[in-house]
Amino acid sequence: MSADRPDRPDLPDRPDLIEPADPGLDGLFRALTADGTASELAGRAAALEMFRASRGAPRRRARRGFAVSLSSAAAAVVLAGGIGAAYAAALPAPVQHIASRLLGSIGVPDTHRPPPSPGGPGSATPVPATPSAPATAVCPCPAVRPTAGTVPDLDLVAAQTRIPAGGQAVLSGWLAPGGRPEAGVRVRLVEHTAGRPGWRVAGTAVTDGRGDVSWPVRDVTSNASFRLMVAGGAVSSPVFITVVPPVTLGLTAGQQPGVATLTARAPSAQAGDVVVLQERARGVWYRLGERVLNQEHQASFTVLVPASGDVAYRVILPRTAAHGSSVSGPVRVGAARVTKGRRAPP
Amino acid sequence: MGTEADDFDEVLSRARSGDETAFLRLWDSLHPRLLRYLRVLGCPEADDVASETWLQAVRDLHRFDGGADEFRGWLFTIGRHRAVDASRARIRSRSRLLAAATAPAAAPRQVEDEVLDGLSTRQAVALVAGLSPDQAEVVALRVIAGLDTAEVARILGKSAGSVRVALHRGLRALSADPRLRALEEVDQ
Repeated sequence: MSADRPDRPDLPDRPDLIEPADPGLDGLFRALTADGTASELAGRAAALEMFRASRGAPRRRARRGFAVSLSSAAAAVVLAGGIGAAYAAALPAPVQHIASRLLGSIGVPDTHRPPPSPGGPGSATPVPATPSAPATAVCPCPAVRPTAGTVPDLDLVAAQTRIPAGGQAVLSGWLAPGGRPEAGVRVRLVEHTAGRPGWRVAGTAVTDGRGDVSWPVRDVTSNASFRLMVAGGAVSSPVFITVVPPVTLGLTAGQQPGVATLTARAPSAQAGDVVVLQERARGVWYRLGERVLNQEHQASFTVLVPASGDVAYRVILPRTAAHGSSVSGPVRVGAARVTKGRRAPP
Repeated sequence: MGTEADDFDEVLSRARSGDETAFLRLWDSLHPRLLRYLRVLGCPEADDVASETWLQAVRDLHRFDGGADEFRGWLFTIGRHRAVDASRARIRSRSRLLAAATAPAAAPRQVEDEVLDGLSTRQAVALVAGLSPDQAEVVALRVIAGLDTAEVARILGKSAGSVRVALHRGLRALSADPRLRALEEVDQ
């Protein structure tokens, strides 16, 4: 695993793979080993119920109970004997929410209430949170951690889940055990940054009279997940923030007549990231080639200048584990637009 | 500061003792890859087979002895066995399946699901599944499951040399596949 490509798959004896530098295979490996998608992780609540049932019930009984499909959370809740709890709204809030969505037609209530609008009046004043701030505590795994008895209903939302690199994410939380807002409770915002193991505390705040807290998380430069935690172990569902690094394409005359140089710049991307040059023809964007961003976060392409008319180019920065995808504005290349030694307007 | 292996041992130990957070940590990290492996195998009921796999893994967790790599190998071995069972069951119930073919089709998936699925991952799985069966399984176990050659050879009952050959040929075929280039542009 190379130091500058932390998202490559972890293959203990990687050298016996062929063509390790093949960017196409790199992309394939990234896709195959990417974090779980929403649909892949949809059975989480069901798996938890299965785990509880298997641990709590005699083994023979558990096996018989799960002989049928566990493909839906509804089945798991029913088979784990949780339907009574679901009816009584006694499941932990996140599980209850899923159970309600799946079993709502048979009367399972939803205690997972929508939070108030972000940044609304009455928000508590938080401790400033920045992703780059030193961690004040390490949380090995703030996954949903339901506890017996009353579980605080915690929710977290983001005003925008896709923000420019270096921008600000506004996160708002709501604490309402049993649907009743709870004031004066210290909650922690924990963050998992793409490519870095574990979770860390990104900020703390105290809920206001409506159970609200909000954070402006500044200078977000990498994809990250956030959760809310309160003492006692309750954890909110995650909110995923995708950062979008801007990418630009500039045109300069080439060293020889008839050629031009297109330079892609993505200051917020990582050196080693790939950019893809595309050409527009007959209304369709075609792939021409790709380059790797250098240490200055730039990559250059040499293209032919058409004798007549002009051609539109653009560059794409594909998504990685660290950031979302981005596309530059189009740049037109034509004989009239390229003057040696002078950069043409994009 | 503990190593990743130490961390895994602790998580596994906690899961054995019934710690739900520890179990979810194992599940979160391995379930998506297990699903992808099963889909590469062409398992039409991958979700169900994966659930069966986890059920057996949880039930037999107290018997497992090993580290992170061994656990991955153990889990994917269970998954492979359950997939074979499911395939045999499909053959036995073919007549019933034929009868079921006249039943209404499943509801189409929502657009939101398609987007959230991560198209590139699904397409990547489909590309690997398009290889010959032996190459596809070797690539899946090596890349998706992250197992080393010796472990893949053990699971498949083949020699390490034949695993390397299948891997080499599979990756070469993938590398030459023009559809591979399109994967990078999916997320434009």
